[in-house]
Amino acid sequence: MTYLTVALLVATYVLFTIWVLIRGWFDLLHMLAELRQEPVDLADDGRVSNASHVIQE
Amino acid sequence: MIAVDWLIFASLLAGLVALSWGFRRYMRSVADFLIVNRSMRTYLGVSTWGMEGIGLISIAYIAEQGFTSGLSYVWMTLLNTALYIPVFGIVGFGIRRFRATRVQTIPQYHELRYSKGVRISNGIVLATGGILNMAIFPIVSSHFLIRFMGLSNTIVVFGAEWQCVYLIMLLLIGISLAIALMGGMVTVIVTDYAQSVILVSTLFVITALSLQRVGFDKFDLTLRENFGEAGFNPFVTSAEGQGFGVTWVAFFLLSGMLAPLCFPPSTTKLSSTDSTNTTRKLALLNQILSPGRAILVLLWGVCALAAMGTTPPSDGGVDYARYATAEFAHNVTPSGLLGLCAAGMVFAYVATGNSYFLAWSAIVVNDVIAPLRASPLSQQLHIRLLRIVMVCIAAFLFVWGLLYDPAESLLEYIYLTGAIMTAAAIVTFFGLYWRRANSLGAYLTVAFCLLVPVADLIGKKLIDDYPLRGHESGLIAILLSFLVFFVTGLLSRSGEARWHDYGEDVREEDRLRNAARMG
Repeated sequence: MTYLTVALLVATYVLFTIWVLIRGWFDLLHMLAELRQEPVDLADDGRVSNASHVIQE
Repeated sequence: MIAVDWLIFASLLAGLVALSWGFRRYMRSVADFLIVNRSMRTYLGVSTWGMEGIGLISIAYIAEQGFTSGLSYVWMTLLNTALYIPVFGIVGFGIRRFRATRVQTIPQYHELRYSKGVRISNGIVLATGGILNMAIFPIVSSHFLIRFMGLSNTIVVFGAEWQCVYLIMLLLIGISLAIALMGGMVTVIVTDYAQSVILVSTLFVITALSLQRVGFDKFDLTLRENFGEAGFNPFVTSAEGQGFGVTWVAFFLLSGMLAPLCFPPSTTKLSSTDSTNTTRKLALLNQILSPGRAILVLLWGVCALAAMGTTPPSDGGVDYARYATAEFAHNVTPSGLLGLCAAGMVFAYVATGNSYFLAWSAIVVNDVIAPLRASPLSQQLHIRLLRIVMVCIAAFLFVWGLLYDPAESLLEYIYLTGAIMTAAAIVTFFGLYWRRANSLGAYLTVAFCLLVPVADLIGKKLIDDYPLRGHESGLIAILLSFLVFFVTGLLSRSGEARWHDYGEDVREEDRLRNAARMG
C-alpha cells in the first residue's frame, strides 16, 4: 500500500511539474509585462493608513 | 568532483547571478521589491513557492527522516495534504481573506485589525522565531553539500588553509543574499523559475540512480529489518524509539494547518498574487506537488540506509544519520552529472535563502522600524533599509551557524522554532473570522508561543533531563495560545470595534469574475 502510494505521488509530481513549468513560463512573461506597464503606487509601502481597507474608528 | 563538474557548477551559479542582475531593473518601488506589485499568477507562483518549500535544509532533514524513520513520513505528508487541500486549496480558508486585505506582511494586518502595539510585538516575535529557524540552514546545508560534492574538510587557497565548511557557507549565503538584494521579489521569482528546472532534474536524477543502485528487494528488506511496522506507520514507534508517535503527528498536522498564515516567506508569496482566487489555486497546486517532491528525497534516505547501514564508520561522528544520504548520493552520481546536481542543491538553498532574507527584512523594516518612526520612510530609504537588514541577517546566520549545535533532530528544531511563529497564524485566523478577537488575546498568544519554545531551547542546554521533547513543547504552546485567545475573546467585546468582514471582498471578487466569464 505504501509503495503504491509512493509511486502514485511521484508520478503526479512528475506530470504536474512539467505542466507547471510550461504554464509558469507564460505567467513569467505576463508578470514582467505588468511590471513594465503598471504605474508605480508609491503609497503602497506597508503603512496601514495607506491600505485599501482602513477601518475608520 | 572533476574539472568538468566544476565547470558546469560554476557556469550555472554564474548564470544565475547574471540572470538576477539582468532583471533587477524591473524593480521600481517598495511594492515591487516585496510583493512584485501583486502581479504573480498561479503557475509562476507554484514554481516559486515550490522552490521555497524544498530548500537544501529540507532535503537534509527529509533525507534524515528517511534514514531514521523509513517511509512513515509519507503518511504524515499525506495526512497533512488530506486536511490542507479541502481547507485551503478548495475553500481558501483564511488565505483568500488575508489576500483581500492587500497587506504586504502579516503584522501589517495585525495593526489593521488590532493595534500598532500588536503589529510591533508580533513583528519582533516573528522575526526572532524566523531568523532562529533559518539560523541553522547555512551550517547544515554546508555540511550536506560538502559531503555531496566529495570535498575535503580543508582547502589551501593563496597559501592559507581554509575550512571548506566556512567557504561553502559564504557561497550559499552570498548568492542568496545577492539575488535578494538586487531586485527583491522580482529577481527572487525570476531566478526561482530558472532554478526549479535544474533542481527538479537533480531530484529525478539522484532518485533514479539511488533506486538503481539499491534495488527494490534490498530497499524493502531494509525497511522491514530496521523499522518493522514503524517504517510504514507514523503512529507506531518501535521498541528502540524509532518512528514518530501520536503527539508528533498531532503537532505536525496542527503546524501544517497554521503554516499558510504564520510563515512570512510563504505569506509574501500569497500577498504577491494578482487575486484572492489565485491565492487559493496556488495553495491547491502547491499542496498537490509537495508530497511527491518530499517523497523523492525520502527515498534517498532509505536507499542510503540500505547501502551504508546504521553503523557509522570510525570517522562518521554523531551526525552520521544526518549526512549519510549526502555521501550516498555522491557515491551514486557519476562525474558529469555531479556538477549539475551540486548546482541543483545550491539552487535549493538559494531559493529558500533569498525568500527568507526578503521576508524577514520586510518584517523588521515594515513592522518594527517603520511604525516606530514619526514620519513615513521614502521609497529609496525604505529599500535601502531592507537591504541593510538583509546584510545584518546574513552576518548573524554565519555566526549562529558556527556556534549552535541543536540537541533535537533537524525536523524537531525547525518545527520547534516554527512554533514561535504560529502565534501569527492564530492571531490572524481569529482576526479574519471572529468579531470578538481582541488585542489582549493577541498579546497573550504571542507571549505563550514565544515563551514555551524558548524555554525548551534554553532548558535543554541547562537541564540534562528536560521533561518535554521539542514537539511536545510546540504542541503545548499552540494549544495554550488557542485557549487563551478564545477565553479573552469571550470575556471582552473590545475587538468588535475594528472588525471588517473581508469575506465580502472575496465574494465581490467572485461575483465580478463570474460576470466577466458570462460575458
